[in-house]
Amino acid sequence: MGALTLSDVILYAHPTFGVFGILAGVWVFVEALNASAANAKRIWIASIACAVFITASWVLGGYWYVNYYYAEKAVILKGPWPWAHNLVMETKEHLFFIPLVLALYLPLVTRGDLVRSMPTRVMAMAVAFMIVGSCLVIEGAGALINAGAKVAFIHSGAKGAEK
Amino acid sequence: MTNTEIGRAAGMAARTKEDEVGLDHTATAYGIAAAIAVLFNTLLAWVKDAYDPLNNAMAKTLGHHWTTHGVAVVLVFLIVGFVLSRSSADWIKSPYGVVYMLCAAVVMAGLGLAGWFLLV
Repeated sequence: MGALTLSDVILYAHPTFGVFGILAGVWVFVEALNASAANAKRIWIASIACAVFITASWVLGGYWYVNYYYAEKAVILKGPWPWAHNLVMETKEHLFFIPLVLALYLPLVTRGDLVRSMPTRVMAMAVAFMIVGSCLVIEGAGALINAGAKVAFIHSGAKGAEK
Repeated sequence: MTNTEIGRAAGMAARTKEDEVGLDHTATAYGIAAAIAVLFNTLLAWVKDAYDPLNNAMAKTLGHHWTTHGVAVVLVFLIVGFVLSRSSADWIKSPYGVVYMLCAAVVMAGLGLAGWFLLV
């Protein structure tokens, strides 16, 4: 078994926290759909969890992108899928700020009265829905970037790579 | 009036009351700020991608253009939200106006980013 590097840990922690953020977003959406005095505290907790997870994913992904991505980028650009960087990564790295802003905003909405105010409930559900949707797109983009590096290695001519 | 009609009328009255209670002032202010921040994010991505001196300046500011970009977007959200929340002005009258504004901003910003890197 090969050694697990700090780069590996950060690389896999980034989408893991993203998935936790998606799950928390779904949690907020479902609870807000059935908002009542009984689940107001849970909605607030779920929205805080969503903000914390998405922020953690941003910090971890950003650290890896700034410090380690340059090597993978060089490999992708020399491989058969250069668009995995030029289109997918370039879009993903900027798209990420959208769910980040929405996740920071979500607790400010859910601290309001979701039971008596329909616009507040609709806003909480809309923001949670957009966080989930954009994060799913970003998770898919991450998989494509990873595949871009993988196909580049497969076509690198390394012994055994083609089989 | 049948029982069904009475129930429906009561439900509609309750729904109208729920609609009358809008987003609170802070949520409205930061909702507008979120819409501005996501559009600013896309605009900044376009400009720095097209204008290298800005990209280089952002890279020098915090060590990497992406780090500066992210901090700038979050600061726009926090500062604009704080300023609007301190203002006593009633920015948007419609109860669902901020919801529509934020949804439209997110869709435009997302498509704007994907479209830019697809075409450029």
